[in-house]
Amino acid sequence: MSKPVLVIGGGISGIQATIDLAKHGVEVYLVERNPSIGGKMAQLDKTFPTLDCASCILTPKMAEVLRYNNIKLLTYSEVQEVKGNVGDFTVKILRKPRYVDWDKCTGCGTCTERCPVKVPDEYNVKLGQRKAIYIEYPQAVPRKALIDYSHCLRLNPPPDLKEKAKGKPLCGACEKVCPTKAIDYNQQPEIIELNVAAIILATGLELYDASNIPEYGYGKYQNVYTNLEFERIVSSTGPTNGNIIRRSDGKPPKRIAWIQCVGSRDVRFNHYCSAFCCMAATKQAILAKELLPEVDTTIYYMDMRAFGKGFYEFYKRAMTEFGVKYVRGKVVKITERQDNKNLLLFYEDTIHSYMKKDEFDMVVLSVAVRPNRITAAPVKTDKGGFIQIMDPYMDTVTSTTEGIFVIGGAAEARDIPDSVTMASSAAIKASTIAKKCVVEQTIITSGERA
Amino acid sequence: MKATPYISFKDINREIIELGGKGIFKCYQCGACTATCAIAEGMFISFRRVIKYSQLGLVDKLRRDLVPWLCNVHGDCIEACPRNANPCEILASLRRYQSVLYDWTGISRWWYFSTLKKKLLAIIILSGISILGLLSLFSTSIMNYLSMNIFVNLPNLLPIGLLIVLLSISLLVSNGYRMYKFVGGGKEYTVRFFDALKRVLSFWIKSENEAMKIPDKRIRILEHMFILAGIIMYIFLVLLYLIYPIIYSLNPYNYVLMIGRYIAAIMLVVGAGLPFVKRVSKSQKIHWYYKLFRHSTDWVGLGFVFAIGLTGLLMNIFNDLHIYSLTYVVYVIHIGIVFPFLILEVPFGKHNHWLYKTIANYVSARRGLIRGEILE
Ligand SMILES: Cc1cc2nc3c(=O)[nH]c(=O)nc-3n(C[C@H](O)[C@H](O)[C@H](O)COP(=O)(O)OP(=O)(O)OC[C@H]3O[C@@H](n4cnc5c(N)ncnc54)[C@H](O)[C@@H]3O)c2cc1C
Ligand code: SF4
Ligand code: SF4
Ligand code: SF4
Ligand code: SF4
Repeated sequence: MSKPVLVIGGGISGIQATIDLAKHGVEVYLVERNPSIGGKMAQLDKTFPTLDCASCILTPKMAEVLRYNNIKLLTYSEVQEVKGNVGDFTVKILRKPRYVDWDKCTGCGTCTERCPVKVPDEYNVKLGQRKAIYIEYPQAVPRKALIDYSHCLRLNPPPDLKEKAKGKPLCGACEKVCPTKAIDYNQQPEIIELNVAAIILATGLELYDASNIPEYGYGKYQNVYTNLEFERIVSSTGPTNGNIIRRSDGKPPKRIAWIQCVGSRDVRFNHYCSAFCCMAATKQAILAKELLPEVDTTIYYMDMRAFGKGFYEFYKRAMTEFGVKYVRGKVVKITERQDNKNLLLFYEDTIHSYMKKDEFDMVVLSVAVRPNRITAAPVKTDKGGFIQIMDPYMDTVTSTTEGIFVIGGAAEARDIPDSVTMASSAAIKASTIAKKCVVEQTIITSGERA
Repeated sequence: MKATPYISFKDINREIIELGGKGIFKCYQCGACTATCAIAEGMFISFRRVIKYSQLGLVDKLRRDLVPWLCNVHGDCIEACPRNANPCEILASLRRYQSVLYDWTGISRWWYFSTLKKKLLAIIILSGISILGLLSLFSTSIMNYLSMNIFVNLPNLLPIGLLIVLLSISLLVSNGYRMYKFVGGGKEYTVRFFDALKRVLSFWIKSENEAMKIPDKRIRILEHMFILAGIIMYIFLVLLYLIYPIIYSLNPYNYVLMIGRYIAAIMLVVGAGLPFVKRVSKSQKIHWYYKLFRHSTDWVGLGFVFAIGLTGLLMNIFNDLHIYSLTYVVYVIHIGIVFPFLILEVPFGKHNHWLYKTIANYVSARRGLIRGEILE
């Protein structure tokens, strides 16, 4: 049998690479730091340029991961150390305790109903709430509950309550209600050591912190949103059940503005183009029009990057069919009106060549993306912090270290089609290496405590 | 107007870069510079557009655009530019380039594109000529008491001096007139003369007042005010001297005049000397304004003002201390500086920018480019 391959990051690119490798007959470990795989795509509502439902494409793929015997899924785990070289990497992986027995939990959700602790929900970009014991989202894979240690009353009681309880354990509601007795408060972190032939890095992207750009008042003005927040708002599974409403007064907006290149293509923040926000904003404006036909949508941009297949047509369609307005010019400042919390945008109208001011009810910032940093892997990064690739023309998926591949958002800001293409490409390269190596050992679980 | 024969955009931008617009090709036309600028906020103008003209090498458009002259070096654009193109420096380089385009003699072109060494050589030659000329006009060589108009025979000097001033002014005005024509002065006027005057004055006073409140911007305004006020006082005092030399010779201790002379000289020395001091200072916290690119013509222009102020100051001091021989020596040097200043600097160098700025403001006010109300 061939040696296994490790995929780090369970976003769309990591999932694709894993499935491809499995189909090649290679054993794969897929490591994901979140409780569920899916990545950014799981948070999207629809995808450009076809306006297909994102989860309708993603969910079957996620489910497919569970179907192969030669895929070992390690969610809620982090790679701590990578040693060795091509054909012989030794990897240490930390499995964080979920405090729920994986085999016993059926994902019924009874526990989450009973848990008294409410916490901002990461999946909904903190727009909604979840419990201390939770299932990340309904389509999560694996669909198993876990306890968030830092917020659980039982595991990590707040000091004042702990004193009152005088040594008696607190809460325990989830344990009482779980029909399969899956809750295990005594679970401990585990360290796994693997020997793999090749590694695929698919650690993907995170949103740049928009509050670093004070001119736009993100975090200060209630009706300024990031594009990822907006993606959750228009989603029917999102915190507002797919109703576009303002944070300040809960009313639907009449005018929405998108500001492009927020923190991208800007040497003060990130010099590179984030690649998909032009099309994502176009998509979001169309979605807004579909949900609120009367809404006025304006996109403030500098250059419309519509380079992919069908993208330019999509952009034209937004203009002609949906009446999305495009204004060329950089918004330099947003101010908030005190009376109705509307937002005033200042910019140069580059058609008429003078400064203008426009009023909107809601503003969406097309925020730059940054690579998720992975410090354990011995790879070089480029100026933007993305993992450097060997050759920008002939080998776009091999990192500067032989045997370590990089795909999707970890290599460069990418949309879904590009990420998936890279994934399949890296899978075949990794599989070639894996098949050359003979297995010596597969898995050693050490009793080491982290 | 004849269209300019084809010039490659590369040639033009090479010149713009030489004149200080290093970031010209970094600009991606976002308009942030316009949209953050307090002046653009009050006017219907775009700083971004002139940058585009330059990028594309549209010399004709560049020649006709008065917008660079409306920039008042507030510096907000520097921070706002996402490309780190430094629009403030680009606009300054465009002003230099435009003043080359306005000049019909070609001397401006030489002045702006020659090295500092060559410029200094030209100044020294002109200085030498004027000093020798001055000395040959001696009627008496008195050194033991003070009487300027006996030391230099004023009736002999006056016509030559007036001729030089006239030459300087006519060169300046002819270039100013050309600029006025290029920017289409007289056309598309929508605002009446006095209304325009009122608007432009109130707009400038308001915007400079606003800027004065911000410590970061104060120093730039003060420097300019010092130089401008110093020059105006200086011209006034010289005129007074030429018209009523008797006042000076009969009553050298006329306190009002004395104080006036000192103030004018000190203003010039401080206003023009500050940038030199800041440039050599090792301090880490140098104001952004002093970090801006300054072209060799700027240094020469400042140098002239500084030298005129300094020699004027020394002359006053020696005069009031009754050190007559030194007064005369400094006086000769002073004239040796003023002469090339009038012949080279005023019509072709940095100091014609005052005139171009005034024309640009006047024309834009007549065209109704001042909004009348501030956005916000
Ligand atoms: C608002 C918005 C709208 C978008 N709209 C579209 C669209 O309509 N169409 C389109 O094609 N694209 C769209 N995109 C882009 C799309 O989301 C990305 O191209 C895609 O998600 C990239 O996939 P990925 O697998 O490379 O990374 P990700 O989806 O970011 O997945 C990375 C995964 O790796 C995990 N991970 C990170 N670090 C580690 C670590 N150290 N160890 C273990 N696991 C780790 C993360 O938890 C995550 O699950 C949009 C993006 C945004 C932000
Ligand atoms: S109640 Fe038990 S089985 Fe149901 S989701 Fe919670 S832990 Fe899993
Ligand atoms: S013990 Fe209580 S607080 Fe902790 S997860 Fe269970 S129900 Fe929630
Ligand atoms: S994709 Fe568009 S909005 Fe995003 S950084 Fe690039 S140009 Fe700007
Ligand atoms: S702010 Fe910078 S990039 Fe934008 S138009 Fe002005 S100079 Fe160009």
